[in-house]
Amino acid sequence: MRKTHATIIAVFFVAYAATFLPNFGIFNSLTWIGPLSLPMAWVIGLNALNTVLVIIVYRRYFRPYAERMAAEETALAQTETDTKEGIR
Amino acid sequence: MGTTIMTLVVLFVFFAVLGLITYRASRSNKATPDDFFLANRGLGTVVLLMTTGASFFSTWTLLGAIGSYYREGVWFIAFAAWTVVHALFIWLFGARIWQLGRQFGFVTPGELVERYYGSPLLRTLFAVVGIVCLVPVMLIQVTGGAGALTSLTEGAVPYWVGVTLMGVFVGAMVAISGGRGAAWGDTFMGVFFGTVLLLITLVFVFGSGGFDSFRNISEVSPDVLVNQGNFWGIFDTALGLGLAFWVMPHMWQKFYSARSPLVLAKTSLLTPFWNSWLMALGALTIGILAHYPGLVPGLSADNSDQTIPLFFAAHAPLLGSIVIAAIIAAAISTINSQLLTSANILTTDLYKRFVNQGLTMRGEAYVGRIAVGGLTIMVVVLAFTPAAQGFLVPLSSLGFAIAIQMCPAAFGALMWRGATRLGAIASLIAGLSALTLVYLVDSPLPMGPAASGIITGSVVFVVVSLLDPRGPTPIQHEFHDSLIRKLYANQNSADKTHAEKS
Repeated sequence: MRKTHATIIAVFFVAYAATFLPNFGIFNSLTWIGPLSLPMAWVIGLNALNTVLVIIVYRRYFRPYAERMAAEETALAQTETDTKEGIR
Repeated sequence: MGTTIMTLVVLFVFFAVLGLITYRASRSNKATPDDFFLANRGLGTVVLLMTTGASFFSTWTLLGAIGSYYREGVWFIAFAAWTVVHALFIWLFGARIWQLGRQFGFVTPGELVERYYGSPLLRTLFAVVGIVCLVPVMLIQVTGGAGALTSLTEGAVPYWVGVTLMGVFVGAMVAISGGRGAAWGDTFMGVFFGTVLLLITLVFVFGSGGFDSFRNISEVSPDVLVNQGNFWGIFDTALGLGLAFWVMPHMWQKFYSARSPLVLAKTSLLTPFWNSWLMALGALTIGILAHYPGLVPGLSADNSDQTIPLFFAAHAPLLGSIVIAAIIAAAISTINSQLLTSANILTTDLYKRFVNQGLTMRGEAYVGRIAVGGLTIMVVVLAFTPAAQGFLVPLSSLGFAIAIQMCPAAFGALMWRGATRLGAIASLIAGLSALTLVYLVDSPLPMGPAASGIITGSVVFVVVSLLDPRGPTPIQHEFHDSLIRKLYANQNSADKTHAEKS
């Protein structure tokens, strides 16, 4: 699972790095992909890919971490309440 | 004259609404540093999304970025790419900052690095660099907003009035309502200027041929539709504006302010849509389509930072007042957080840490308010200097370039157990020295100041840390063990299960 995490992060940054290819003349001609010029379409396409990766990171890692923390806080609050009631 | 009166009326209504929000926010305030500076660590998803977005996107977006797209064309589309990276940074760094902030009660970035590295000197360096990097970005808010006001009213509202008006209002707003008022205000202003940006984008698209609008531009300015190269030029800006999103002190504090990690997670999920798909690509569309003949009369490279005010001055002067309000909203929503954070650093990292350690919580909030006043006066005075009135992007890029020199040391505290105090101090000094040298003197290398600084700083950080004979301290282990346990609990158990099965 850690390997998958590292792979997703690596793919994300490779895709980000690829957005600079038009600066080196790659995917940089004035040809049209729908309403967009090639360099615009290239960067926007990679942007879409990275947006999907952000959603994957959210679902697989960020939300589970957040839910664990919420569960921990709830458990902690319950323990404090129980302790107070025990003292009474 | 009608336009000027309309502008003033709209601005009055805008400031009145903002004042009301600020007043309402201040009624919930308590006299504690957590409450005054971090909104009691209680921000929800919508407010956090808006306040991070609005604090980072400013007049820079509504004026400077559009001007850059007009001048440089698709070359500047890197803006759309690095703003998606922001979302990942919330996971990679924001979650860690939140976790440690909650665990140790940190209010500033300096507190975290001092605790991790055991170095008051590093905290002082973070405090000074933190304030210095915010000054140019605060300045462009004031100069950009005042410039737009002067432009739309054709000089009827002079520059000095705009600067003074913004300074007084922001200073009062922040001093009265603190972090909660800034966040609530940002939500209102973020929605406002986001909506205005979206509507202007649509106006430009339909005003220049709809679906074929970019093709139409190819007939008049084909150069702006292809990338002009200059990798190192955009790389420098991308580094600054990409990394600054998590390391700039006012953004760092936003992570402390989240009510829970779930709030951060949802903010991360929504960030690409707000930061990239709306802000960056909206600005791209407007800036490039501004080349369409007759769409923005009188527009040239020299005044391209004023594309939107010029458009409205020519086509719909009365609506232009709303746009000016949006630009000022963008400015205020950025400068308010930066003022608050600068005041927080002055109060917590410098005054309380080194001058008056016995300062009460109430006293801390009081000193914070005085600091807000002092910093506001400083920014207003600096706004009248010629250096503050240049192009918006280069000026703000300087602030971002300075900020990211803190990245290696901050990265160590959050991610790398091998980081040492000596490595962190050396990296910051080396990075800033390289930046200053390249900024002041022409460098034979292709990199700009930001890249030169952070590459030098990172190399120095790693090399010095590896050569430093002192190993990680117990507190360093505590930081990293705790972060790994909290963030990757399932992964650890999955790895363990996998190992057991093997």
